[in-house]
Amino acid sequence: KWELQPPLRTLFKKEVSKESLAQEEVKAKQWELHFAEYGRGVSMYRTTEMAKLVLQGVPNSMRRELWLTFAGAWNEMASNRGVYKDLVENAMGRVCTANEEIERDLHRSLPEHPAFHTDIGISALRRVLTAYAARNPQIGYCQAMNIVSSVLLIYCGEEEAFWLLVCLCESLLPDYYNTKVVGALVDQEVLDYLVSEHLPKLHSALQQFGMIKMISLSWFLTIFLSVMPYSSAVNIVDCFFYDGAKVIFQVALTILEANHEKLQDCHDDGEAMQVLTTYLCGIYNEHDGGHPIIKDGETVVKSISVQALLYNAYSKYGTITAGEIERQRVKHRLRVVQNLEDGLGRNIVRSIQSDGYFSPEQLMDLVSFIREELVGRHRPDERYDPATPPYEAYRVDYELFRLLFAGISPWGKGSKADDLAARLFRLMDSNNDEILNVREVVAALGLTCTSELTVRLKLFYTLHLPPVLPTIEIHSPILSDGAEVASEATEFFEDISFAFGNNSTESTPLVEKSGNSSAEELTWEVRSLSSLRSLVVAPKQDQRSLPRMSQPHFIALWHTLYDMLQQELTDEELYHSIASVGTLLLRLGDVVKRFYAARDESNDSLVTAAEQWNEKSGMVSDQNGNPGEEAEWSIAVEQFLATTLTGQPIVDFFSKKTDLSAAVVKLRKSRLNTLQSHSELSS
Amino acid sequence: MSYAYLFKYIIIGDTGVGKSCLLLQFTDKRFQPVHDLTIGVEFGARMITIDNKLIKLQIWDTAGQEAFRSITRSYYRGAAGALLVYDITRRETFNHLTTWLEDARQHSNSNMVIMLIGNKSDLESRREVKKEEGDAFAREHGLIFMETSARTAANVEEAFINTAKEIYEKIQEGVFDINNEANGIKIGPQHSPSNASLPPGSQSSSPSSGCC
Repeated sequence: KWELQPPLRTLFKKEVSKESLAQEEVKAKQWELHFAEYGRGVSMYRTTEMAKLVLQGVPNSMRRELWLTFAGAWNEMASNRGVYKDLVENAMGRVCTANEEIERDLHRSLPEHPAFHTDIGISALRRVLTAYAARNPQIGYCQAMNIVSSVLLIYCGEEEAFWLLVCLCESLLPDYYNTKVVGALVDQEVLDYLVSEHLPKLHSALQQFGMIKMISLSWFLTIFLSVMPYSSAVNIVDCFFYDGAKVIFQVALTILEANHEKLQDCHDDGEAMQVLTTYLCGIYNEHDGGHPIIKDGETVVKSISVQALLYNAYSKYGTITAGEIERQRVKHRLRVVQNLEDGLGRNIVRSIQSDGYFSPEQLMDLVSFIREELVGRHRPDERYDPATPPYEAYRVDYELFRLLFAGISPWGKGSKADDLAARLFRLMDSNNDEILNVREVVAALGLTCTSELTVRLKLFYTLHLPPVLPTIEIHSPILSDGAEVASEATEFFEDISFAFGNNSTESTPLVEKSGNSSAEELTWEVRSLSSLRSLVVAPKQDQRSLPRMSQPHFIALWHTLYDMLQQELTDEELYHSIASVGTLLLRLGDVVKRFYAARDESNDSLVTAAEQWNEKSGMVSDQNGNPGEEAEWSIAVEQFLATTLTGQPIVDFFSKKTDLSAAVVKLRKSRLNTLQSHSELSS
Repeated sequence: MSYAYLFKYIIIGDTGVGKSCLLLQFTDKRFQPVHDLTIGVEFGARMITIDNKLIKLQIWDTAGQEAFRSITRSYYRGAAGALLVYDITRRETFNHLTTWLEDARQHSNSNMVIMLIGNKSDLESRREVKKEEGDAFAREHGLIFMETSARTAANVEEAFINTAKEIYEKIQEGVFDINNEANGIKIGPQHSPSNASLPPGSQSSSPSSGCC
């Protein structure tokens, strides 16, 4: 059982000098007078008088009321009665990454305040943060939220602190606390721009160290609370709630300007960092009764009062408007997001380039295209498990894979391209989740685009083997409806799976998953697929031969080949070579005599002839298309390879290397045209 | 104080493994059980002596949470040494080492010396990762390895100083181009290359030879 805590400063009272008490009272009185004249709460007027009052620091007792009013959190809270309690109940005891991370940070949020030396403060902080993570899983928990929240809890009631946090995360500091702190990165760029505008000399000095980015992240993410004594920084928070995020920029510029001489004299970024740290730690509050600032047991040299700092910030940089900040944000945002994505793209490429299918530059082009498509379809998955390799970051479904296959692979042009794409997709989908990661996509494309002739032919052969090509898909009348799986094939695959289970350390990660899974859990089909995959993707690890192919599957294969090559070439030689190679293979399959008897000499298409012959013959094979008892027709992959290699046009087709980058450029262009014509149609 | 060399370090690893505490123990010789959380990056420096030469260590302490990873990456460039830290009482921090290492290798100069550190060795009763496992990981990836305790200060000096020794040796062997500050090494103000006080091996790395 838990109850809402009041502002923690009322439970853990600091000793305050008479002088500061008096100052507090005077300030409170001034506010009362202002309320009396200009109203109080959501309907009060914002006057210049009020701006002055804010600038000298809101009295501690009134921060609760004024922060909530300025930030607009009153409205949120009032229109969501009971929501906080429900969220807390909901989130309590839930095991998730966010809650684990929160737990680890509770004791290092505001360790100097006595409230967080006890369970009262720690539990309240835990509730606020876990409730927020439960409310907004997109943001969850980001470090820095804990520091801000603990200060909110000092001055505000627990529920109020929660709604202030909601306002901060969702409107006042947009995008700051998402998984990549994008908003804060954007504002660092904006600050960089403002420094170049207002302090050009310092900017060129700092740029040499890359300083601005280095120092300012915590300034933005914690509204200075983590870099100066919090009792000073709360005055900046007062102005922040009153005036918005532009205050952070104004104060940042003032701090840099105040130190510009020292910063320009620095020899390296370390020294510059030290200069600023010393300055920031020494910022004191005039109304703290002149206490010395103690940090880590040592007295810190005071640098400037927060009141003076804020006064300078408003008088020198008061012209910077929220509108200007917003314009600059829009301007820099695209580049920041682009940089992040490029960084991820480079990581993906690095993690797969050793597979050797394409050059890093080509891979980058492909990865960029995949990203564009994913952004166009839905958001690319932002929160992916950091423990997984980078190539898991983009998830390609069949729809997108089909587009890539058709646009890039030389196998993707014919009328059977979609069938091939679907089978290849299924073959590469090692965890059977109907999603390919980038590495699997690249392997699928690379195997058909750039790999060696025999590797490609083997893959082509494999794509027509059961269960990649289930017999059910072959429209041939010779099928029996027997439900039994061919025992020969089962043995073959069990053998292979077994060999792989023992051999998993040698296999590449691309096939590792299947090799490591428990064999009992997998169906025959899945195991066969994984065996075939490893034979195609990692032939060096697996010297075993592919299973023999039955006639219906072989005919389907020849259909596909004919269809594919038809798109490529039209001359006589092509037909001739297809026919002669096919004939040779059929002969090898030991049914040549009957074939010739059935062949219509006037028909040039061997494939048609073969089908006609099939209809006449009473050959029986089982459900998987493997040779049945009556018919013995089958060919081995070696026979397939050896014979195919005698047909020059076939060899040429399977040896030609695709230029991935050029293919991607073409694909992108055609996508653009499709999208344009779509929008023209709809408008 | 004038130093012969300045080495830049970066401390990396999952959140809560004790990166900041290691730094504080090394620079201030004290342990703070409750420490402020590191947002973005923090900084510390200390002088050490190797081979009778004063060396300034400049250490950048980074935030461990995944959200800050893209920021951490920009600190690898220009670091001569990295301390990759995991917590021996939390298995997952050890499991994430591969990702950290990949990140470090991809974004740093190829000569960066990486020291693997299993921290919190004082919490023996809560140990989840055996010392042998850390050893094996380090051997497999060519890292130096040490278990430390920021609380008791055990091995903390050694961790920072051994890393420096390794860097120093590499300079002696001429592996590091000390004229290129992007390698995270700077020659002290009184020891500029024109004074011909370069170590014997480094002559091979004249500006014209280009850097790695």
